[in-house]
Amino acid sequence: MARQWKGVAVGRAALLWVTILWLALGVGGWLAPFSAEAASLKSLQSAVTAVPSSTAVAVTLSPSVDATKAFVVCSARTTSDNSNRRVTCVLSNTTLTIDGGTNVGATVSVSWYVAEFAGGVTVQRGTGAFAAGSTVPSPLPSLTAVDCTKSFVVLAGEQTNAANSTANDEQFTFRAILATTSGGTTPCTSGTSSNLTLTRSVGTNAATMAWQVVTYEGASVQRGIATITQAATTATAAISVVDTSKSFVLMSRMAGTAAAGIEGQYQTRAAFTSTTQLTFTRAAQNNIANRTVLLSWEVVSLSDGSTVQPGTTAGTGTHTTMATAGLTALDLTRTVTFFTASGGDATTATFLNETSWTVVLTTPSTSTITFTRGTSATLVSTASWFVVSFFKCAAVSDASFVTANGQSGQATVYWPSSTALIGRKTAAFVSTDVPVNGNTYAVSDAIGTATVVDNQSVAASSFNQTGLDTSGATTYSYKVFPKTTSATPTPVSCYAPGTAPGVEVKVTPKGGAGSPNWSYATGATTLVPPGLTDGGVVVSGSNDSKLHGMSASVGTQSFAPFVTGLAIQARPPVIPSSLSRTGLNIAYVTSQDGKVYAIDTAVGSPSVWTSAFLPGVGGVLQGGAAVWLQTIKTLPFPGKGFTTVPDMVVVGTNNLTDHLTNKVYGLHGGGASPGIMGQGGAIWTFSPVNMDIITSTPYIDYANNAIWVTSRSAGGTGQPSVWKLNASNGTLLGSLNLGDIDGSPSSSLDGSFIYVGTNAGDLKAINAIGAPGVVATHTPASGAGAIKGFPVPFSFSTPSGGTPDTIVFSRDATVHSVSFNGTSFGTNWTTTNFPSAPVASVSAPIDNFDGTNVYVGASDGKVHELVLSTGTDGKQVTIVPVTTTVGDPSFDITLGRVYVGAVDGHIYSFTSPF
Amino acid sequence: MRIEKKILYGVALGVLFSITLAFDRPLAEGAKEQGVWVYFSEDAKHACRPHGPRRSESSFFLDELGALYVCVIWYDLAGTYVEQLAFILPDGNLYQVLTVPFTTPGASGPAEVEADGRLVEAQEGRWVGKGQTGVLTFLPVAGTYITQRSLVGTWRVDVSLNGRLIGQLPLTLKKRD
Repeated sequence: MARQWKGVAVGRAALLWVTILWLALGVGGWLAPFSAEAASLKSLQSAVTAVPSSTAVAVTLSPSVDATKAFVVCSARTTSDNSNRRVTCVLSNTTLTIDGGTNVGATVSVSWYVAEFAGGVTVQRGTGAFAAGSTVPSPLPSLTAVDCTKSFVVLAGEQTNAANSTANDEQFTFRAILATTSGGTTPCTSGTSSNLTLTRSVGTNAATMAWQVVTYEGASVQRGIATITQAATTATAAISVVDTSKSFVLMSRMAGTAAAGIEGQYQTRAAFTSTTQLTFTRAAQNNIANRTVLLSWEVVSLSDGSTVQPGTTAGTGTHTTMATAGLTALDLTRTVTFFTASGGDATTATFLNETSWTVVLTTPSTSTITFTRGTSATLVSTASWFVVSFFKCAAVSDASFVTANGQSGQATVYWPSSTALIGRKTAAFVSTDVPVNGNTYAVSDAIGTATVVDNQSVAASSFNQTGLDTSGATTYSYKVFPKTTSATPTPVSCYAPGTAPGVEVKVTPKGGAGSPNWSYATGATTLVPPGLTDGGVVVSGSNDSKLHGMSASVGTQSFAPFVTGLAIQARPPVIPSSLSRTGLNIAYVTSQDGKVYAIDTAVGSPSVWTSAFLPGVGGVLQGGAAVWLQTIKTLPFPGKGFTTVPDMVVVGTNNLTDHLTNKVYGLHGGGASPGIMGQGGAIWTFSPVNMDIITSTPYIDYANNAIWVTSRSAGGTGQPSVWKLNASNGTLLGSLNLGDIDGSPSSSLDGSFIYVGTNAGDLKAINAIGAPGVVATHTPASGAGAIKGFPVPFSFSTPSGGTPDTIVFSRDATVHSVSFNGTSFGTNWTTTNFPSAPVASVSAPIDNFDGTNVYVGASDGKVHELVLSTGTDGKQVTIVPVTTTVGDPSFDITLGRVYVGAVDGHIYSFTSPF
Repeated sequence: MRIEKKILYGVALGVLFSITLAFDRPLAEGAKEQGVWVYFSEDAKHACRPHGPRRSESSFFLDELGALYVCVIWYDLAGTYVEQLAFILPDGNLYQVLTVPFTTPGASGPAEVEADGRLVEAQEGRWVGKGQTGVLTFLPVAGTYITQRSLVGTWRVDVSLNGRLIGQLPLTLKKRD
């Protein structure tokens, strides 16, 4: 029976943001951008800040921002009617500086938004210093040329140190035009411009104003100038048709030279009156010369998924605030308000405090826009506003798994089907090696210090790369970033963060002598011996909680990993369809999540069945499952309601909270008739209340209709650690107190003896027939530690003096071969040097089924091929790159290969003999 | 709004570490301070007791360790979260990740949370003090490959919340001479 393991395994079981490149080799040339990024909001900070004195307020931004991708929107209210109650807002990476000059006093509060974009936005900023007597700043603004069709001007306030006055506001009103010429007033409507024209109509006092020019991928900008003539309160401008749910208006204005500080004459608001027209409105006029308003306007239309809600709000009665409720639900993490306001009358110059507003948005009970001014009054002031919700990437989850196959010179990366960006490095990824939301990447683009090797625009689940270094000197790290791409007119890609453990896989596609046939990267350490199906699929659990399936011949993924709840640390028995009552090639997987999973290895998910949680609270399943196959020997289960008896899956629990409450379950293996428990349910449960943890795999004793189980025994010999159970009903047939046992039992191949290795390092031979008793004990003369895995028997004959059995086993760092003649053990050999020096640990052994070699994985990063007859460590293969601990190997008789996992999370295939 | 907070987390022997944490969003409405303490213990009973004393060590002998119990005490959280503990081997390889969705005491939240590609039942966090949520989990040790292959040395435990790395702690596993 034990020789059928191959199948049955019974017991053996730059950042490319519109980048402009110049050729640098003397030929020179303009290269079109090879990739572009769309705008995606990264962060939004906002608050209302008081300016308590003449000292500038420095607001620390948390987190800091990249000011080249961020702009500030400020609005101020004041309790004073003096014209010098104005502030500038200037943004740096870490600070928002709000400055009102020397006379601002304690009368100004500022509502501000700082919108930072992940990409797709560049911001140039500066301050225009207007000297006394000058209507233009000196120096003129310095601007790197921008695309006029994608750029707009956001002014960020003004300030002056002028003395108190209510009658000179016009000195502190400014118009900004992105113009075709330096100092010109012809708006730039196509092409590029580096000319920002800032002007005021009266220049008596010095003043400073703050400006920002924002270039926004995905924006379409119209601009123009307009004049509200001296006898009018409105002006209009025709525009190309826009979608007002995606467009907003920016406006700057300078009051006429004779405005005399009368707010009603110069406070102006801008709004859409239709999809093709803007209207600019002031509160009053008295047809006096030089009381015009000179306007500059921009209509910004966003096609990147951003949305705009426009509106107008006016207060009634005596009020300090005015509000409009019922806005479509707002996401305040991405929403900024732009507004302009009018108010006053034709003659009064003391309404600055009644016509200057701050704004806040509230949500979620109702989305409301609320304006606040510094003074309670009956004066009506009207705000025209645009609530702009910028596009912001929704969270994209990291892949639930990333695996990879390596072969000589090539790698294949696998992930759950989705669109994804694949990055590659020849070193480990660092935190900055991530794609930027909003960016569009092409193959060979950089993401941090990694390189894009694939960018799937349609859902895919694998990526293959050939032509890789076969020398073994290069390890390729791949990281998969699933992405979503919005369906806006300008598609915007958003990426997973790539921070989940296991989403980075490494492949060293070494070729040539001593190289693995293939490797397969799982998401965490895997030291468990792999299993093999009759269909040529290697199946292996991993500490990444998944069961992996891969082609035995080349290691490519056979099925998407099946996900359990915790690590899988036991070899799953794989039953060929010809032997299974399920009619499937089926693997029975025990997981530390406390459940057994029956997996069809042709498809992986979903499971054929999943058991209940089997251990007690705080327990796990550590050991593997053993399977009673009815096609090998029929086993009745009286009283369980079966018309056709099912295969039975036997597992033991590992209840970590005590040394008494562990159990052994015989589970319905699936197929056949459901019985009274259904598939996966317990046919019987053995619960003796003196059973310590079980970390081993039970042994199916067909000859004696028994199940052998090993366990710990609370650190002593006061309770049993070897259990013989009736396979039909789970009742106890006998037990032995042999001290703690973590290893699994095995049998002489004739079925007459059971071999167990204790944690003390003793090998025991137990009579399998009748009441169990220890026939012989072997205490190794060298080595230390528990006997691992299970003792490997070799002889098919009944152990006797003439035909002694050979048993090979491992301890901490030694491999042992002993003989057993039916009554006593004898030492054959002990291997302590691998090959010339000790190692810290070795794995459980496996042989190649032809009586020549034994294989162990070791802590030197090698698989060792020992000569069975002598224990000589004749040959080794080394895993590249260097890893520390190599796991328990398995052997494929058909292909003559050793499969073995390692702490690096890979499963390797090597041809045998080495 | 992204918020950065000063976090304290502690390990054995009262050693305190202060690190700066970053969250993409406020973890709790009205939260005054975010914090996390991490206790390692070989004993489930003492790892996460309300108001302590909680047994905490950072060094363990393999032969005395059935499982490594980890109690993470989160401060000022409200709602459902996903805690992840990544155990990194001394050689830098990822040994295992424990993913623990949890709901803070008294908070309503989904019974199951999608984590690691599957729905996982959210455990109810333990009330261990005012504004404190204790989340207890364990790493099996006895009979695992940790003991089989003597995976001793100084490990690293990465603590994450909702996919964001919060901090890293050393953990030493030893074998008796």
